[in-house]
Parts: sequence; structure tokens; C-alpha cells
Amino acid sequence: MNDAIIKIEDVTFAYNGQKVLENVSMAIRPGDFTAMIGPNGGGKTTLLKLILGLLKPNRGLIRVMGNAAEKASHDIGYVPQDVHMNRHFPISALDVVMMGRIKPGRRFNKNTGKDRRVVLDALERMEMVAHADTRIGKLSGGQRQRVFIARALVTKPKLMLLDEPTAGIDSRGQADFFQLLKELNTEMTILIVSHDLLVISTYVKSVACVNRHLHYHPQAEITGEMLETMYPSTGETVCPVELVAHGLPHRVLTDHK
Amino acid sequence: MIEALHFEFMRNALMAGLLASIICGIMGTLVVVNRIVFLSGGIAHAAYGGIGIAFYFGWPYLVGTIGFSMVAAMVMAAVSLHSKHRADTIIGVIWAVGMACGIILIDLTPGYNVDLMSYLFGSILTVPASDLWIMLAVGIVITGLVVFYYQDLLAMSYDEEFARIRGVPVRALYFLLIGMLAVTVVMVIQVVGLILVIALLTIPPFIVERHTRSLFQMMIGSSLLGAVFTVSGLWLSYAFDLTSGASIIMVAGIAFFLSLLIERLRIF
Repeated sequence: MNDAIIKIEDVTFAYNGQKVLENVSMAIRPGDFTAMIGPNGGGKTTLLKLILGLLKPNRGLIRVMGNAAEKASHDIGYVPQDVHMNRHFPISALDVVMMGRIKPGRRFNKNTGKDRRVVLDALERMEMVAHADTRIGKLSGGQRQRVFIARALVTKPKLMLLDEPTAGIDSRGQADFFQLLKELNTEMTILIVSHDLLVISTYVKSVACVNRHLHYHPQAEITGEMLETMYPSTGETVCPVELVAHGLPHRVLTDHK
Repeated sequence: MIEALHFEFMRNALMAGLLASIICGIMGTLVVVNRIVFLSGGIAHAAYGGIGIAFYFGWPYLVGTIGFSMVAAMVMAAVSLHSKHRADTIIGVIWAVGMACGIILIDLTPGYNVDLMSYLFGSILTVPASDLWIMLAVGIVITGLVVFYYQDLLAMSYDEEFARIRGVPVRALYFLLIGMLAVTVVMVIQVVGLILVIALLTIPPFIVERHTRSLFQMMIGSSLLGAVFTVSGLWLSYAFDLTSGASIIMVAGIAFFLSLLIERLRIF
């Protein structure tokens, strides 16, 4: 699997002595559309940051497009979790997308006409051009996600990483959103973090379950066994998530002792 | 107010206030959006340690204060980059120890003692012309650096991780930001006092923030608003014979609460 776009070998990452990820291995092929699922605190976001080179593994190897992670991060489009962004920040949608045009070693950059065109094209594609001058905090959650995707697109990525992009978007909006990602997937590899299986199984090609360990499923089948390893229900933490997956009867995860 | 301008000290006070407003408008915008108000307070108080050192060893004032504040600021910057969850505690410690250090060193210095009040509230009415030139120079250097690194500062302030992925040297830039802040604080304290520095760094940017659509607009707006506060505060202090620094802060404070009130009324 030398042609894998993301190759993770035996990676362990600990935060304050606590292992967040342990002996994780995964290879993602170019053109894949992978969903990373798993419980909160299971290490999904950490793994994403390792792939972006923002964190360094304690042990193991990460190669992205054949390079060390921090060297490859230029060619990765990153869409962060909306909840972590400062909504009071005085910035227009256009200027957020403009950040994607920043290149290393290019200081004192007056935005050129070309930058503006590229940015407006990306906003157009995300159907957000009408909101170009709107303050980012005034947009809805779904609109903000589109702006962040536009920002990732202007970096001309070969790989797009999205961290829980559908949080706070209603289910109709989510379907539209995944349709959009499906179109983008014809041009680039997509890895999306989510802990919600509802829409994923219709759109993604493969699934990675992350809960300290990683189980990679090359097909987008959600098996009952997978659900139980990923969402173990204990007495106190009853998980009332309703899951609909193809090939499985309608399941409701409640207390199963 | 016009007849007050016949006095040279009044003209100097006005110039000092305006320069401080511009410098604090630019740096305060970065302070507010990066949420480093506490760190700025830490630098401002620790600077008193530098004053103590300068007096005790008989060094020139600026060498002692800039040197000491810069070291304290860099430690604070390193701590906030490396262990975010401990940063506020450590800044608090440096804040207190710096201040205590300054007071003890001044106790130990024989003869002349600096007045703590003038450090806290400054002495805007006795600003010599030479200090105005120094402030002007600092203002020009800071404006130049901010213009040069504008896109990078913006990217770092809005989304540090994305900035790092795009190759912005976030660590170096953060140290630069804190370094500029240390110089700003020391220079402006000398003129208008510690309390007024904190007020000018935080109040105008906070009020202006929600009405602007870019950091640039926020910097311009904060500078203008700071200037309005300074001029009206100075006028009040002249007309009613009040302490000038405190009058400026009271004007700014009233505007701050009014803006909060207006915001509330608009929501409900």
C-alpha cells in the first residue's frame, strides 16, 4: 500500500500520560471517502491533528502523500469544528476564505485581484457568494461550514479533512451537505470525523472506528458488532442514539445488559 | 478647552493622549481578539519590577523597564504556548512578584522614591516633549510591523491551527505580538500610567468589535474612540479639576457600560 494517501503505522499518542491513541494503523487510498466515527474523547480529533502535523505521535509513523505529516499539510484542506471558532471575531466570510490563500514566506501580502477571484469562485461554488461581506458570526451553522469548506477549497487540496462538520445542522441540511461532499469526492480524498451514523452510511466508502484503537472497515457497512465495540453501553451511560444502517434492522441503542 | 491649549503642558497632554489612543487602539485590538487581556495586565504590573531595578542600580529608566518587562513577557508567552491550562496561574505569579520586587527595590534605594500613584495613574499633565517623540517612534514601528504582518496576525488570531497548516510561523509571530505588547505597555505607562493603559487596551476595542467587519476597521475605530475618551476626559479634568487619568478612564468606563446596555436592549 505504498500509494496510500494517508498511511499511519503503529501510532501511539499520549496526552498528560494518558494514552489517547494506541497502536493505531490505517491506510487510506486516494479517492476514498472515509468516515471516522467513535465516542467523544475516543481520539478522533487527535488523530486528525496528527495527520495535519499539528501534533506529533509519541511512537509510530505518519505519512501523508508520501511525506512527513507537517510537510504535507499544505495540500490538505482542513475544516475545523465550528464550536471552537470565535463567533465574535470581526471578519467577513470573504476574509475567512482569503486565509486559504496564505502561502509560507509570502509576507506583506496585499490580496491581489487573482486571490479575490479564486475566493469568490470558491464561495460561488458553495452558494455563499451572496454572503461574502457578511460577518462570519451572523451566518448560520450550516452557512459557516460552507465558508470553511470554501476556505479549504482555495488551498487546492488533494485531501480534505473535516471535523464534525454537521454538528448543529438540521437533518435536511445534513443530507445536502453530504451530497456536496460526495461531489467534492470526485476530485479529492475526504476524511470526515463524525459521531453520527445517520447519514454517513449512504455516502461514505469506508469507515474507521476510533476509540483509542482503530478498526478500519474498507466498506461502509455498519455492523452490529461494530456498534457494540464503538458504543459500549454501560448502566450509567445509556446511549439513546437511534441508528439506521443498511442491512440491519432498525436498532435503538439502549441499555443492553 | 480651547483656552486650555494655550498652556504647553495641556498641548503635550493632548498629544500624549492621542498617541496613546492610537498605539493602544492597534495593540488593544490584537489583545482583545487574542484574549490576552490578563497577560497584558501581567506585563504592565511586572514592569514595576523593572522600575525598581532601574532605580536600585541607577540604570536609565527605559533600559531597566523594557529589559525586565521583555523578559517577563517572553516567559509569559512561552508558558501560554506550552501549557495553556497553567498560563493564567503563572502570569498571576509573575504579576505579583514583579510588583513586589519593584516596591522592595525602591524601598532599598536611598534617597528619592518614585510615587506609586504616578506609576498607576501616570502623569499625563507633566509629559515632556521628549517622551512624545519616543511615543511617536514606538507608534510608527508598531504600525509598520502590524501592517507588514497583517494577514498572518489575522490568520493566527482567528484560527491558529489553520494558520499553522498554511505555513504561518505562529510561534515566532506570537512572541513578536507579546514583544510589541511589552514595549507598548512600558512606553505608554510612562506617560499615562498603568491603569489607563489597561483601560485603553481593552475598552475601545471591546465597544468597537461588534460594529466592525475586519481587524483593520476595529483598529481604526478603537483608536478614534480612544481619542474621544482621552480628549473628553482631559476636558473634564480641566473643567472640574479632577485627576486626568482617572477622568479619562471614567469616561471610557461609562461608554463601556452604555454600550453593554444598548446591546442588551437590542437583544430583548
